Amino acid sequence: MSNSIDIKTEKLSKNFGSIRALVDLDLEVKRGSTFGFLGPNGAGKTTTVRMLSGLLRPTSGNASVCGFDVHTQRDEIKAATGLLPEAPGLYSKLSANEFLEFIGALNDLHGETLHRRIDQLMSLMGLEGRQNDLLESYSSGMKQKVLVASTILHEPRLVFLDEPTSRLDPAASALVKELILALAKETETTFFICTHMTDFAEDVCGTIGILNEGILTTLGSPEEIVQNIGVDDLEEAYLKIVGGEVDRSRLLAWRD
Amino acid sequence: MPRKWYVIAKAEFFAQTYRFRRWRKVTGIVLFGLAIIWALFIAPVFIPSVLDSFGPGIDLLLIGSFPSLMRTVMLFLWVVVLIYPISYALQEIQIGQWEIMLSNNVSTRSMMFGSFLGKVPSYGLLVLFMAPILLTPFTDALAVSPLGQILIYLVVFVVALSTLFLSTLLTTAIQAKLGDSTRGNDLAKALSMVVAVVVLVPMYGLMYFSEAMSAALGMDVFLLFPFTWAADAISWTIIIFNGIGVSAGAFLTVLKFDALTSLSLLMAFSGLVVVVAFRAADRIFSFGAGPRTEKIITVKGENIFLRKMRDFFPGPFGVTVVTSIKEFSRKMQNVSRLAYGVILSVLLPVILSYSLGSIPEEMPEGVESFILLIVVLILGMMIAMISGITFGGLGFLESKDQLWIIKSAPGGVWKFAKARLVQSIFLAILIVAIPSVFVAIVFQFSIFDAITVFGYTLLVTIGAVLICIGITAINPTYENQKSMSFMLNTFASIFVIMFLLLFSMVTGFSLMATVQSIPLLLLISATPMLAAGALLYVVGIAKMSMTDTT
Repeated sequence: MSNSIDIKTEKLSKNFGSIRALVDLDLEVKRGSTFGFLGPNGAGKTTTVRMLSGLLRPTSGNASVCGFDVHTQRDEIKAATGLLPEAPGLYSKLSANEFLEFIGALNDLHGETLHRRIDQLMSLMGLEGRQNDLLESYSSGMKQKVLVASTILHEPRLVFLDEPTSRLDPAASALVKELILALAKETETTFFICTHMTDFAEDVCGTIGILNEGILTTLGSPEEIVQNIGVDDLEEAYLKIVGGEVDRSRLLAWRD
Repeated sequence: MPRKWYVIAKAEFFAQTYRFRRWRKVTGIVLFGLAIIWALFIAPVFIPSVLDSFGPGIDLLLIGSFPSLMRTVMLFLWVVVLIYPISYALQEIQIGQWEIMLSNNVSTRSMMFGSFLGKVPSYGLLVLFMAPILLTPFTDALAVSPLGQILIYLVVFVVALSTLFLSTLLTTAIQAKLGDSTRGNDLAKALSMVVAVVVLVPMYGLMYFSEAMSAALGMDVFLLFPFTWAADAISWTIIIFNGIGVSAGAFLTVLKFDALTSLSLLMAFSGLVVVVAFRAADRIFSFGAGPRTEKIITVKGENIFLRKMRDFFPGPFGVTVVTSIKEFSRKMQNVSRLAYGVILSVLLPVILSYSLGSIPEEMPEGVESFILLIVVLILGMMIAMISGITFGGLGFLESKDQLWIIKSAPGGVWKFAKARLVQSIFLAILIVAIPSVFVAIVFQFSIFDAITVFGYTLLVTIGAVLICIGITAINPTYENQKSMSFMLNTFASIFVIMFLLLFSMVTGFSLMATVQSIPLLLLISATPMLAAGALLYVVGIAKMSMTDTT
């Protein structure tokens, strides 16, 4: 892993009217590292990813992604990054091959190189027998695999993954995990991963940030976080930080 | 404890009237109050006064052929109450709640009856407003007594309820068959367009061919249709309760069944619908297969047209255009909407030709050019509006999530919009060619005139596509056809296209004296659409490609 920085934010904030979705985020993510962004629903993870990938304008603060400014160099950021959005926006009436060809063309790829890459990615994802079927017939896990393939198709330097394994079965989840680790190690691809899955984050991410109500409350390696909070694993630490611990006395109180 | 069907009906009603959720009670009372005032007091005074302004001919026509005309009217009413709910429900398949209901131990009969009952207030209101418009001309011309009028409206009430029940049964069956999947939803939307054509045929019939249609409906074969029994029951009521001395004798060639038989058949049909619906409820409320057993469509190699397209546009742009064509043309809803446009634009010249049939063969000079101009403008208007809304509105972008993917590529929105525009132009050539050829044949245009018709229609269609893409890009609605934004966009698109076409038409007519060449005149007429479209397109795509702030 090199020492250059792929993501650097300074007091990055986003407000939606009176709602403060992200508050003064200061963060650095090194090139070739795997950063995990944890937080409950509505914490501001997707908002952060959208701002960093050039899709959403920040309310205040600065950020640079792969050396490009989020305010002025959004097209350069888009060319250097790949984004796996939270919800799958696939074209139902295209086959996986056609969809990937379309995404490749949007990123100025075409011809033999593109087709070879599509074939190899489909084979890697275990979809080689289904790649000419319309996406409308795919299960949600299969669609997620196609989306993962579309995100890395143009070999981006930095990949944003928003809930990459939420719709995947354990086997597919393990595949994505290994793919991330291999790409980070072999090609110095940086990963910025939003997830709810603490075990996934613990296995894959070198650094973890926990976001709660728009504020980055914790930052460190999984081991450091577990140690600092004084618990046994990352899930317990996460629940302590975001306040999701279950009050057992109330579990059956609604029946009274 | 409330009955389960009542709870379902209430939920159905709430879902239908969610737009007025804060003033549901007040809106309901006001609307029903207005409808009753309209039916009892306004319509009986207003409609006869409008008919009187056309002279005594209308009254004579109504008195002379009311049994046949009544069949046309009842066919129209029957189709509206049967087809419109089906068409509306098919805009979006919603069978997810069935699972919840069934898991809560609700019987399928309660589900069927509850779904039907929930629709009664809104469609009842529709009938309350519509029935006086359709029936007052008859009751007025034939001076039907108040008791007779009450009986007529009772028959209409029975017809409306039984037809609505039938439409609930058919809608449920179709939705269950198609299933709540992407493919099912696409097929449902396509089907909703097909059934819309069924509404249009009697509507056009009423508007343009009421005489011919009434003659056709007077034939014995129509005695097999429920709307005929209802119409005949009403006609018999008119005969019994009219105040001008009309007797049955003159109409026995049409009214083959007597009053009691017509009424009995109508009641039997209504009862049969209910029995069939309840008996079939268990089979209808069933679920389709999951993703593993759904029908899988595998794409084959590209056809010659797409291969040539790739040769014509090499590189990434060609790929986006070809992908765009595939994606658009595989959606049945797009295909059916365009087919609907083609059918309408083929129907219109036929109607126009029929209406112009009275023009003598030896036409004065200039009449031929005038007909050409009118035909071209009407054709342009129809095709432009439907193509614009299909290519630029509904078929432009599927979802917000898709937009995120497109936007995450550098210059992605511009690349995508350019591909969509080129795709629309190529497909529009085909869509415009069919009615142009048809018009040329119907009106026996020369090759040169036919090319002129085709050229003008294509240019205004491209203009309309640009306008609709621009409006959709400014206010994206994706494929949600029930949203307010969609209605607003459709209204704005139609308004802008109509305004520009009428403006062009006026300009064209005023230039007729100075510009003798019809093709040049039409080219000038198409310019405002193209110019306004190009401007809206650029503004819309620029806005869509901007970085979001919310």
